[in-house]
Amino acid sequence: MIQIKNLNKSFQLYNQNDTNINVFKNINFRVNKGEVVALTGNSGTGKSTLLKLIYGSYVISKGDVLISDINIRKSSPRDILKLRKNKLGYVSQFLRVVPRVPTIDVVIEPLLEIGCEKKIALKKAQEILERLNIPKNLWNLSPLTFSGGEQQRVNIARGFIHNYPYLLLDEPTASLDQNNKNVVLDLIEKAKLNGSAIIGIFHDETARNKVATREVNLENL
Amino acid sequence: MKQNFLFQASNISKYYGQNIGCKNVSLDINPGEVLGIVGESGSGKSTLLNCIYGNLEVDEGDIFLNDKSKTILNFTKISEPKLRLIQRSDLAFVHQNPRDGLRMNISAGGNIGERLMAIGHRNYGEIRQIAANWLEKVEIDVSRIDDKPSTFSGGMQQRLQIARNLVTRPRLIFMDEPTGGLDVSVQAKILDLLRNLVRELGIAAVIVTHDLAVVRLLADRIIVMQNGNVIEAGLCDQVLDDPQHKYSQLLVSSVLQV
Repeated sequence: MIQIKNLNKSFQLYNQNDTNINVFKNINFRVNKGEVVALTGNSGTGKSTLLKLIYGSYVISKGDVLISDINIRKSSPRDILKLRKNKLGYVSQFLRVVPRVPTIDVVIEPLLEIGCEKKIALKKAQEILERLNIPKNLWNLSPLTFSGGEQQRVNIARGFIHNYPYLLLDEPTASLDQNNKNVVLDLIEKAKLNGSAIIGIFHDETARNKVATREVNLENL
Repeated sequence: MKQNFLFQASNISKYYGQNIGCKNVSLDINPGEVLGIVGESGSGKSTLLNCIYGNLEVDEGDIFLNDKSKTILNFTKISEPKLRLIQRSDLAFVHQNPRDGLRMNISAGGNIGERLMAIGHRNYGEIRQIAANWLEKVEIDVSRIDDKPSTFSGGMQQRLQIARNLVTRPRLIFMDEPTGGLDVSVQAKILDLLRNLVRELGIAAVIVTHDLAVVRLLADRIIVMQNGNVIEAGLCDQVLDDPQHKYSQLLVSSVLQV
């Protein structure tokens, strides 16, 4: 279960006239196992910010984020890294990888991190890359040379190769064609049935309606 | 003190006369962790690195290593020869300029073999075989084993320096701008190499760099230094994406977007 309690976020920008930006105040909701909660609201309401607070990439100003019994605000960097490695997955809109590393090695990395045997990891990576329609002749090339949609699918492959019980998705279907969009929605559906608790941002309404069990509108909170 | 820690530096200070090299810096590293140290030139990054490696005498503070035999050693208390032995076995140091870390007038194989001999290897054939394996690991053509590093390119020299340092299977490696001064395509290759070696061999690393893109890809945690002080420390992506200190914000926002 993911629980958001009285969460506040503001940014203090010291080098830009000490501007203080209040993103949101007093956000409360919870996501149970097997639920997909879609965050909605216009651009700038803090949807991505909320995902980054849950993932530990942003500092919580006030309030709490609980993932199972782990309080993110009170966790040390080491605890957060351990949580990410084993339980908390995040599919961002941007692919950040070491240049010149082949796609297949990028995709197996989350499994190697948890000590999975390389042979098994490679097999799983091949399955998911095939499923996501990444042509086989690209697997040994760096994804940095790929198109936007292909890069996004590599990110998705990384996020779904391990069965994370908690999953954060930032626009997972944004730059995909209909066919690949459906593949990704199937992957989300499967993770949901497996009991993962998922929070996602889906600008595409049909995609959202298809997988989301509930919506949380950040403007109405 | 925690039992599973590998390395710990507490309240390290170093002064150059009136000037502060670094002040009151504490850090600790567990096995397999990568710690990045960032900050502008003159912020004390290299001073700190040289202090905790034992190259520079500290004015204040203690440095502890949990060595291979699970004995906790205090660098400021052990003898000079003992410290040198530790530096060659448990630790390693990769310099920004490979010329500072290599012996330029002996062969590539000799550069690697020398480290093995220093920790007691004597069988020539075996040493040569290990050296050849390491050249392969760092992607230097084994046929170059008898060539002197002075005939290598800068990127090859840096990879040779890494091989020379890792051959003794250290548990903690200190790196001072390991990819500085290399062209970007070679940088990428070295980043990939370091990441794989760190994971495969479970080595911990402390990396000093002013390149934020490099730390983002390599480090688990980072510390930000300014004028010899640590002004912010934490999870790598958190410090880079949501820096809390005025100077860290300036540092992060000054990077050119590619």
